[in-house]
Amino acid sequence: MNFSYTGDHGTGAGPHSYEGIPARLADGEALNSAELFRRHARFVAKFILRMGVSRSDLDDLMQEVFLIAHRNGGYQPGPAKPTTYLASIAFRLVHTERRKRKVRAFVEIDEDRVNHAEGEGDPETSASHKQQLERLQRALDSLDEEKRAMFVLAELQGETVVSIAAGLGIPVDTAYSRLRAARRLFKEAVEGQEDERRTTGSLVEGATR
Amino acid sequence: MSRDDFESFRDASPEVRALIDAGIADEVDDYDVEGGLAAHFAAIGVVPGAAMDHGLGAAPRGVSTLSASAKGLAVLGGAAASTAVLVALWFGFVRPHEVRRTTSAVAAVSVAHSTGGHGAPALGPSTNAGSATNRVAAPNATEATEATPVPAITPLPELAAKMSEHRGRRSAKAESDEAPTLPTASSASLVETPTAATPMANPEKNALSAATTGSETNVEDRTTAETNADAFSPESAEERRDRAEKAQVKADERLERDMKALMQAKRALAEDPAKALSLAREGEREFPKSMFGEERRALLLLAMIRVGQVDAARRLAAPYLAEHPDSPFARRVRHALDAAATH
Repeated sequence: MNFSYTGDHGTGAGPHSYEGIPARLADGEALNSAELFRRHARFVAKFILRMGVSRSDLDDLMQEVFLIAHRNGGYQPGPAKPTTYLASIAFRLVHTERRKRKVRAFVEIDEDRVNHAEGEGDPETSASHKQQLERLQRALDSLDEEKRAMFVLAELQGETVVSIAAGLGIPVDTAYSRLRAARRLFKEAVEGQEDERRTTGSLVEGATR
Repeated sequence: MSRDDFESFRDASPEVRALIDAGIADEVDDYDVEGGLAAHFAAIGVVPGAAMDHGLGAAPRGVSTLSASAKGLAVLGGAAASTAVLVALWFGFVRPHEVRRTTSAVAAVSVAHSTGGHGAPALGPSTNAGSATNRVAAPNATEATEATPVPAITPLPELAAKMSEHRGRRSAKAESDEAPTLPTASSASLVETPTAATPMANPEKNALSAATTGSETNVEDRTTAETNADAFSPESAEERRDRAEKAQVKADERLERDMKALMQAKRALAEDPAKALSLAREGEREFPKSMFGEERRALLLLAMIRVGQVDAARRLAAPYLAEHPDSPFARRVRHALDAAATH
């Protein structure tokens, strides 16, 4: 994947020219970093967490994302939406952090990441929701970074493939094929979890007889 | 992949669908947007322009490892002395657990700069070169014209413009610092002086020769413009620079006062909402174009609700909530109004 930044957002260097996508999706408004933070902080937080970052690292990464957005002069209307623009910054930061740290803990399932599901509402529902988030994260963690980013943005955060492609600076066709592969792998991972649960259940059942 | 394929995926299996639904429903509600935004303000308020681009950038690379401590700030040295003051101010404003974010944000800037983009990914050319590339748009402003017994909540000030201005000024100052030998009216010295520094160091002259690009023609134009400018103003370049620096110091002091006033109001909200209300109103009057306008107005509304001016708060809140329907501050105001309605 080509992670190089096009510079379009930061420089306003004229019409964008991503391969296979329109030069401009829609007219939008320019946003400074504070306004981006106000509007899209949770979106970015969710993306970062689903990319496998631990809750304890979230705050620092969030600050870095928006600081970079600030240094870039904020968001300028273009092929990428503000959300996918921010996601592209977050993606590169996560990528860099993961490479820098190279510690297993960074990508391990972190209780903190799902703790926010607790403490509210029906305890049983919360526990179930937490379990689902843990399973979701395990399945996501089985994808590589690029496919995971595609999957999270498209499936969990409702972004269009075209906008994601623009944000990440990749051709739309590549984005589609990446999403297709991500879906297949995600399904396999979930089915693998189901098989594992069934096997474990049988073993436990057999042992208790 | 067609759109149909896209839609059909969710029907893959109940298990897959359930997990995706759980992921969609997870809104990361526990993320403290207000705290994060406060830290972000501190970071960009502390480091706009000079500090971010020139001051902190000179800090040793080792600072990158000093996340989260005053130690990090201590090493940043004299260039960041004023930033430390501002950070300290923010420490009083942000909650204790946010201190780490703030300091690490400052360190992050240092890392990004001192490592030439290694600490943070290089994301294209920096846009802090001044007004030409400051493209931050002012938010839509709508006039709040309600006649109420309390001062009307003014529309969201040009936060973006303020940030842009601030950054532009700091950049200009940094540029002038980098070019201590300012050009005189003689064409020889102008040719020798880096063109990039000239318009930044002489914004007024630059306005007279906005199209300056470094070509011979432009140098001549600029020379003429400078001569004309000097003919109208006896002020030397040195004096102009001093004046610009004084203005910058004044702007920094104002920002500091603004932040301090907001901190006081925020601290007072829990214990003494009447005082918070008074402070918020004073802040509105004194800093009508504050960078923290949205926060201050939310504070003002919350204080009004707490002192029992619910109806007035509701009237004032209407345009505020319409303008910022999804902001965390709006959410707090909305909750406070709902809570007041049920009592």
